[in-house]
Parts: sequence; C-alpha cells; structure tokens
Amino acid sequence: MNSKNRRWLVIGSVLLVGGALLALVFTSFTGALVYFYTPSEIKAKGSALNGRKVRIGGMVQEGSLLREPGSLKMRFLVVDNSEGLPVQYEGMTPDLFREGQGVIVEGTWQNGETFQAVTILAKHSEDYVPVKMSEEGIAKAKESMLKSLR
Amino acid sequence: MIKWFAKIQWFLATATVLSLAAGLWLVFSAPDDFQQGNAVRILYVHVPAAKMSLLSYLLLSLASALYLWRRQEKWDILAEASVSVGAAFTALTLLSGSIWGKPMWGAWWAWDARLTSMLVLLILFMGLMALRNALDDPHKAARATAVLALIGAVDLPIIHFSVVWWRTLHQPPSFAGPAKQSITGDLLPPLLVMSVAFVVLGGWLLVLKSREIAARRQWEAVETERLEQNHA
Repeated sequence: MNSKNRRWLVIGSVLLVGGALLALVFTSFTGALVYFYTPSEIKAKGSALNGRKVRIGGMVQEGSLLREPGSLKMRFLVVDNSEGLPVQYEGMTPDLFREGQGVIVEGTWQNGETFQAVTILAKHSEDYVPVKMSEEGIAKAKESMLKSLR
Repeated sequence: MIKWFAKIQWFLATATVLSLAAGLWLVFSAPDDFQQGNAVRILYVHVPAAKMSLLSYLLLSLASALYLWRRQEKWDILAEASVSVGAAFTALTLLSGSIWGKPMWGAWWAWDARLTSMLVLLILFMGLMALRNALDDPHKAARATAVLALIGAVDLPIIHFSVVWWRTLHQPPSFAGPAKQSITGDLLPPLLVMSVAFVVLGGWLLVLKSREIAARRQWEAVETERLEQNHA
C-alpha cells in the first residue's frame, strides 16, 4: 500500500470511529444521561421506583415554601408544567433556593409517602437580568425553567 | 508561520492587556444579577474560558487534520501548542464553574452531562500531552496525537449540545439564534468584552507556546546532530 492510500485509510478510520462514537451516544446513552426526573415522570413510574435513589427536578411552587420556626425543617411543592410533588427537607439550602426558582431534590423514593430530600441543589435558568429589572427577570426565568422541564 | 508569530506577538500582548483591563473594569462596574447577586461576575470568566476551551480543541482538530494531510511540521507545532492552551482554559472553566456552583447550586460538582463532557475534554488534553511524551520518535508522536485528537473531537458537539439534548443541572445556552438572547441590559457588555479579551489572550498564549516549541525542537535537532558528530 502506498503512503497516500495509507493516509486516506487513517483519515477514514478516524471518521468511522468518531461517527460510531457519536451514534452510540445518540442511541444508547440518551436515557442514562438525564440528570433528574420531573414530578410528572416520577408519578407515572410510581411504585416501580420504590427504594431507589432518585433526583427530581422542577420549580419551587410560589407560596408553597413553609419553614418550621426555630429549626432547619421545611416543606415545599416541586412542580413542572402539569404535576406537583410535596417535598420535606431539613438542612442548609443553596443561595439560589427560593420560591419560583428551579430546584433538584435528591432522596429515596417511597410511593405514597411525602418525599424526604437528603440533598437540595438549586437549578439556575439561563436568564441573566440586572437587579433593577427583577420583576421582568422573575417572569422570564420562570418561563425558561418550565420550558426546560418539558 | 513561526516567524510571522514573532511579529504579531507584541501586538497580541498589548491587545490582551488592554482588552482584559477594559473587560475587568466592566465586570466590576456591572450591576448585580437579580438572583445571583455578585456571583454573576464569576460567569464573566467562566463563559469566555469555556468558549476558548472549545475553540482551542477546534484549532487542534484543524491543525491535526492538516498535519495528517500535508505532513508539514508547522501544523504539528500548532497542534502541540493548542493542547497546552486548551488544557489551561479547560481547567479554568472547571475551576471557575466549581466556585460558582458551590454557593449557587449548593454543590462543587455534579455528574451531569455538561460537567462530565467538559471533564472528558480536560482528560483528552492531558491524554494528548501524555501520548506525545510517551513516544520517542517525534514523527510517530505527531501522527499518533493527531489521530487521537481527531477521534476526541467527537466530544465537542457533545459538550455543546449536552444542555439541549439531555436534562442537566447546568443551565441551557443563553444565546440560541438571533431570537433567543437571555442576558439583559447592562449584564451583557462585560461578557462581550471579556469574550473578545479571552480570544486575544488565547491567541497570544498560542503564539508564545508555538514559538517555544519551535525553538525547543530546533535546539534538540542541533543537539542531536552534535552528538552524532562526536560519535563519528
């Protein structure tokens, strides 16, 4: 084989391996790479997830956050576009955790029981808005968060 | 190419200093974000650094392909330089993201698709350095790293689209076509100027590193020749 053919062989095989990797990622990993379930998905799966560690992501429903005075205990509702899921948590919360913001709660799923979160992560939307325009920002952030939960 | 690099080096150095100064001034005079407060300023380093990481790898792929095609040493020098520059920007991206993530998300790290694919990029850059150092024959090292670099290029679309394809903790892109632009008002100029500053900084580092590699290789060639003469 002359050197020119060899060169094309190398280029061809690189493209082949690259394409194969990409196809693999597209087809088989898509499901596994989802970082969290939405409340709708979790309710649809129901008791099938019993005893499993899950992450549930959504928005903290406005007006649903209740903190128990004198402790770090709280409860709130995580919502997506159609469903809501009550969550209990005790501990510190990230700076971005608040009503109307995205949140991801981690814990063990028991169908029929109130979800007990062990870890709370705040999820930020892609909106960046100066403090002066907060009202506009809150509306925009809520819209993009719900869109990303579809 | 290397001689031309020597000519533009000082121009790039001056442009880096000036644009970084202007960018940082804007970063610290910009208003707080409505949710993140002061922490939004970290993104003015994080986002441009992330863009430069991807751009460095893109340049690496281009230089690698050209080297495999043409077998000219200048493309290999450019490839080796973009590995170093890219690794530095990727490390900065992961570090600044982590510093932002702890107060905002509540976690230094999360194994979501965006963060993981970016970590893979850093591992690729370091793997390419290791591979080049592992092979004694410089031509073999150049070929092997070029091929590996092209295979690794598959990570670029994965990084870019990870936040669109999969549900992640990381937020989706703030710029998606002309219709979607979700950075408002006074928060935008610092990002634009810092992005330009990072591109210039990346160019400057690339020129410095390329010249260093070229000089080292030249010296090594002279040294080898001298040793062979002594033997004879």
